[in-house]
Amino acid sequence: MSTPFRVDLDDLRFVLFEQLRIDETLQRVDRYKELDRDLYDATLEEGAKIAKEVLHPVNRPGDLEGCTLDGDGNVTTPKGYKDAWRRMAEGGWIAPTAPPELGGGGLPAVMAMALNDMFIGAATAFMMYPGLTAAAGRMAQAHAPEALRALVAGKLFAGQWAGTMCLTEAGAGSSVGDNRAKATPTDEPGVYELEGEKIFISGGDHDLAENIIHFVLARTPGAPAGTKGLSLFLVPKFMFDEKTGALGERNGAKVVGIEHKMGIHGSSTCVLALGSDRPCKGWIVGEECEGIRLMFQMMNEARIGVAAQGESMAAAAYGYAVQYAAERVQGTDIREYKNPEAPRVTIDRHPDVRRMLMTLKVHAETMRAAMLRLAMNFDMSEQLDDEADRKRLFGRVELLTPVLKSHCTDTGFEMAVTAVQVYGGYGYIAEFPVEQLVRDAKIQSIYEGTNGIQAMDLLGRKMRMEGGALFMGWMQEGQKLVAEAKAAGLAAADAVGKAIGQLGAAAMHLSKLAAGGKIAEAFYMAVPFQSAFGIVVCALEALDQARIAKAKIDAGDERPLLRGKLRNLEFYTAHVLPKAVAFAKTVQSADASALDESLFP
Amino acid sequence: MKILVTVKRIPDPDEPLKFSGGVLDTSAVKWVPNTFDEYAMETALRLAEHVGGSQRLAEVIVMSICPAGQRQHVTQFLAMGGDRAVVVDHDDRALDAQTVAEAIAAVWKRESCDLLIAGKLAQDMEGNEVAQRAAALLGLPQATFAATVAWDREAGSLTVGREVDDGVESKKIPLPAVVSVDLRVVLPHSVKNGATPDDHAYQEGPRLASLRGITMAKRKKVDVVSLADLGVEAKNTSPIVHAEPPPPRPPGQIVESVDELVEKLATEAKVL
Repeated sequence: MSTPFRVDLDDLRFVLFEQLRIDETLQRVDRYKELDRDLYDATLEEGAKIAKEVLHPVNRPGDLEGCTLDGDGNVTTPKGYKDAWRRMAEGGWIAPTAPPELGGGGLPAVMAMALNDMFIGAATAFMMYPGLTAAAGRMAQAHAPEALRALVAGKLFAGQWAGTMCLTEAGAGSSVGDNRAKATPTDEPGVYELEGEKIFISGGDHDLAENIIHFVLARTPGAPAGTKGLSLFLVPKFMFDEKTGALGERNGAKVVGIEHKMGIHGSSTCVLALGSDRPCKGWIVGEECEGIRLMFQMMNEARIGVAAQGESMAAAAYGYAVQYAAERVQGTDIREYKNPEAPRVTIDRHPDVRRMLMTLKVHAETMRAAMLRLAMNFDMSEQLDDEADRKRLFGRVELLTPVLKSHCTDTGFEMAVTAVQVYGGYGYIAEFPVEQLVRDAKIQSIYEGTNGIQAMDLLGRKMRMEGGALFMGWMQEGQKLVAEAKAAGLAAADAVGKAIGQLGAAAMHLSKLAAGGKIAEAFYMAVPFQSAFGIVVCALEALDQARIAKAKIDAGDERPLLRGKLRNLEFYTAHVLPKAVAFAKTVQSADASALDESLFP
Repeated sequence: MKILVTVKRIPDPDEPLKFSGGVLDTSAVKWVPNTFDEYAMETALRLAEHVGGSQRLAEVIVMSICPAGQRQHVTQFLAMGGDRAVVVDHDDRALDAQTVAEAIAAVWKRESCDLLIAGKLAQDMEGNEVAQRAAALLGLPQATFAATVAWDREAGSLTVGREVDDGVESKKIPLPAVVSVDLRVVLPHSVKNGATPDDHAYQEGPRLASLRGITMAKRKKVDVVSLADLGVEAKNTSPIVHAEPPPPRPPGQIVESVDELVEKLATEAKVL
């Protein structure tokens, strides 16, 4: 017996249409003014079917089978992947936000995020391929050489071709500036020959699409050391006709090994040799030495994508656990402890199991809201008329990207573990879906910039942008919501307000440390600061949802979902929010013990 | 050729039903299209499309009787690939099967259709009568419980494999005609139109809508008409008098011996 995969359409609808009200908000911009609630609803309904009928069936077989590599550098994906890819591609689900003029569905990012909420948890490893392909499509659309732009972007969006991003090398992972791959100009303008070896390339080869487009960082002759000297190249698996896209000969980007991993077995993680057995050609993207800036566009998108993975893992973990706990009979009601005849009950009657289910519920639901809000802000930052508004919202996205990448992936993993705990012994057994969830989730706090790197980005860049105005703006908006919630009679608002204050004090402390030259001491506290930040961001979502729910309940709406939102806020305030306050204290503790040079000599 | 496909909205069969005051409480019900009607739609689309070619062989018109503001099931059928829709704005739960059939016959005539494809029954009431009544009203040949459909475009006829008690009966009917479909019509090779290669394997089951289909659905034409527009009188000769959930099943029993089992089957269960 296993547990069916569940999607939470009711909660998705609550966030999209009652909390964020995307149907009203997005109709204000030209690009989305024809989209309405009906269309969004139909998309969600159909997306749920895709998750359950197309994606989920390949999740466990893909985990068991994994990918294989033959002697010619060809990767075979698990059985069923090709069919799932074909159905995703036919339905236009590979890149739901792709512009209609390039054959896409033209959905806003917030709807793509809602689809990801369902899709990723359904088949985590499989969804890496469409995720990277869509991101590569947008990269091609924005920056590929003019002559190739529409062709390559269109093929990627349609899922005829697939995409990757190639940064990491054996000596250059988190430290991308140590990249050594070389790119030498050829006689053909804009075309280079690449040499080197990239590792950990997700989707580096596979049998899902007819061609693969790699976006590769490499160094041109005479380029400066570090990230400043990196250029970006579009490197196809097969050369192609620039007009028709007809495939030509094999290019010299060849997989020479695949990794055997803890999880996401269905995703091929490749060692990609460039120019090892035949010349490897690539078109330069942008200008020489512009690579890192352009690649960061894809990186930022990928970081948001990984945050979405974490969120979706929590959603899936909650879905499994709550269904299992409602069926699994074990023990008697604790209040009947004196009664030997007491009937056996399902485990969701036990207080500690209920505590775990509530932990899963509040994290899944608050992260969902935070991620959908991030995506909607991204949409508005691209589409609003007013430049100041666009800039403000984009700044918000930039500020919260590392915070949510780390919070959602750390929490997503923790929730997968919590789901195993709810299952008890059976959770540890491969027959049930939650142990795979744990293995699949762990990578998310590591790739696309480890959560430690995210914290450095947060502290070193995002907090300092515009003299700290991004953070201040976020705090002000948070306090405004706190005031509104308080006026609406939500007692928990005070605690959230205090936590924002504590976070502000921690930020102040860190900036003093840095100003005083104590750079190592400040970065030593980057992760605790980031952890506190993530918890408070989601506390604001719990507060906002409770505020909306309360108004509806007061107006006579009796849906249990609304009552659940009030309970979420109570639970979050009692069980989760104190952790933010504790982290803020850690940040301000003056501890520097681990920096003692005599340790770890 | 014009194919008319009918779709009924029903309470989601996967959700528990609520009863209050002796009637089914539909206030919080999630409405979904009847599954057999999804099979009908899939059949119509397989007949209409030329896989490997670009020409469309038929126009597929979706018809439903429902409150005009609650037609998400119609939107879904248009997203699957229907060309346009006719919505009869009326609460279908207040109509009997004969009235429904009369409305279908009226729309058929208005649109000058050539083929009606309907699900063999709706999962909520399991009446299994609307397609037959419509065929009688229109004086058309009918083939019910279709498991396979092959269209001979030259001859203007359909060869229909019908699921019957002792196997599959093959029946050839001239168009115009009425077909009601059963489960197996959505197997990969069940429908042939003479244009799509005969060995083409369809994805099993009714197709999922594509994202593009969903976006396009909003732009497709939906005619909203009333029963009066169609010249049909709203009747309900078989109203629901009372509805309540079945009594809960008694718990299972563990018996000590075969004798006891036989005894209980004979005396308690009264099945021997």
